Amino acid sequence: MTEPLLAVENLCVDFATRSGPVRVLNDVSFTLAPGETLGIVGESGCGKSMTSLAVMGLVPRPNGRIASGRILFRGEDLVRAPARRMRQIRGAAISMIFQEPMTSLNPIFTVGRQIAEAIRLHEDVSRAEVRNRVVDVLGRVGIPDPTRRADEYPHQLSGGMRQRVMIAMALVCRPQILIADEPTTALDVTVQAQILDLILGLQQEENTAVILISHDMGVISQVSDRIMVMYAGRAIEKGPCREVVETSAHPYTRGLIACIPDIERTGRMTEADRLPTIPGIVPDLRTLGETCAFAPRCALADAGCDTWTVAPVRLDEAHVAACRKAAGGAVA
Amino acid sequence: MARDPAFHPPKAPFVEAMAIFLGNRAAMAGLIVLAVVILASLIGPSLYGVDPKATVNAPFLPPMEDAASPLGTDYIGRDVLAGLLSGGPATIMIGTAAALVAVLIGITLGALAGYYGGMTDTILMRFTEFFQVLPALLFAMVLMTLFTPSLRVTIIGIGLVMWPPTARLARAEFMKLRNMDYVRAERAMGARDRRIIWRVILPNAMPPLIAAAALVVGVSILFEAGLSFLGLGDPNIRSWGEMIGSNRDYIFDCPWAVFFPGIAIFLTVLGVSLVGDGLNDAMNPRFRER
Repeated sequence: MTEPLLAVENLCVDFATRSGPVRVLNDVSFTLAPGETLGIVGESGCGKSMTSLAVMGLVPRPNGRIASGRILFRGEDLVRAPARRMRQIRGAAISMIFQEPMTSLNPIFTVGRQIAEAIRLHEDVSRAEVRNRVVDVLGRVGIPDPTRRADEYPHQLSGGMRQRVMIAMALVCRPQILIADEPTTALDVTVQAQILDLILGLQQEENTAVILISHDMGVISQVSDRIMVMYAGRAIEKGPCREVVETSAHPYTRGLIACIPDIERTGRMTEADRLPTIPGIVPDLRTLGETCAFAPRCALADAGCDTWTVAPVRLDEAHVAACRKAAGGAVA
Repeated sequence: MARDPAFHPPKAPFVEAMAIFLGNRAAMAGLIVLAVVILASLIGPSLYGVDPKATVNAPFLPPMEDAASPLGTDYIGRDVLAGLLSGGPATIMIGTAAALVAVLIGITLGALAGYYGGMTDTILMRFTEFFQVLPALLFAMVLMTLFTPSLRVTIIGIGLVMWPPTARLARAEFMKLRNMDYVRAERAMGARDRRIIWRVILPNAMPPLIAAAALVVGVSILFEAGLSFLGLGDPNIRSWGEMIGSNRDYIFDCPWAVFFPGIAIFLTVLGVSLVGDGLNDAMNPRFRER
């Protein structure tokens, strides 16, 4: 296995609330190799976005803080990196695409100018050179007539176009890691596929590592090399895409996969064909202890689960699940 | 097919705002009034050629009696029209400069308070409230009497009592805008706080601030007139307020010496206010028909 580009080790993030500190990320670890796509899935509030913000060094202050753990980017611990160093890394070595293309662009500047600023923040290049790169990157993200589009304002572009501009801004400094936080959630289904294809195509050109965050197991399972499933601030299952999808060890992962609608199902629908759901809701993070947070919603849970301290169970070399009942595994 | 003027390709936000502003009749009327006042102040003194500070005619000369002094003279025979023409630049300059001082202080403190929040916000806002609870006129009077009244002291004195509303407005705008997605995106690009405050948020916060600044100019002009009326302005500068102030003891003997500068102040402040309202309507997206 190649040297990981990014290694997150035992990351814990706390938020201060009126009723005491809440652990929103609990002992999250993962690695990312160059050119690899890591998919992070889970319901709202499970810590997907917080993981990406932590990597970017953008955990909201002053309420949130990284309580413990390390984020190693090519061996450099970003948790302890000074603010100056983090600014150098953000946008240049590690970039991020946000969920809302409609509001993630500054409404009063042309898109060309905003991309140009992304370049100027990190590189000292001439005006003409900046302009060339802006037009070039807009062309590469599939915007027709990039010379003209560069001088347009965000409100003149469609949602899909704006997301392409966001991708252009994130990629213009050729980052080694691209974090895409629900990049297609706000877009039409037809545009979603285009944007995903675009991200993955550009990834292959530049050998960029991608962290793709989504609540949509269908999307994640199609494009990821490896998958990390999160629940209530913990990584509950990690492994290569195929293994996680086909031999899911955690009941929550199986639930997410069962929730993917199957368009090829034909014939008369019976009650058994109804799309299954996972009963219950994500628990209140304040009430969690060291036991399995999914147990109250889990069909397999028994009395033993209420006292079992959550620990990753190793199923094979790369596949880990945090479930007491994960088949045949031993606590890693 | 009939030409539809509203059917046009989108323009830059600023160009669009200008178009709305230029189509606003009240604002245009205000702009015309202001233009006349400024033009008269700029070329009037040299055209009229009468020294505003010198006694040029008999005192208490009513308007329309002597062709040499069409608006009459005041209690020591100074020409009222010459005073009006030369008082314009002083009045407008003091009002604008004082508003500039107020807006600069207000935006700086409001931006920092709104952007950083927490302790910074608490400290800066308590400081702002301290200034807000002081009676403005009284505070300005104290400042003027502590120092020898001069142009600079007048400007800074008025600026120092006028900034709190701007600070509160700037703070509110920054609190709203700091959580916008494009601010987050900018931070994710590696921008530092200084850049985000001045280059990303401030331009977006400008529309209401510009409109507010225009109104501050109007109030500053009134303030200057008030201070001069009380005899606290620089006696060497013939502003409109100073004309009213120096003639206040003779208000029944030569009402015209007070009336004309009063009208000039009224028209100027009205013009500034109309323009300010027009800017507000043009730049506040809530009033825009989209």
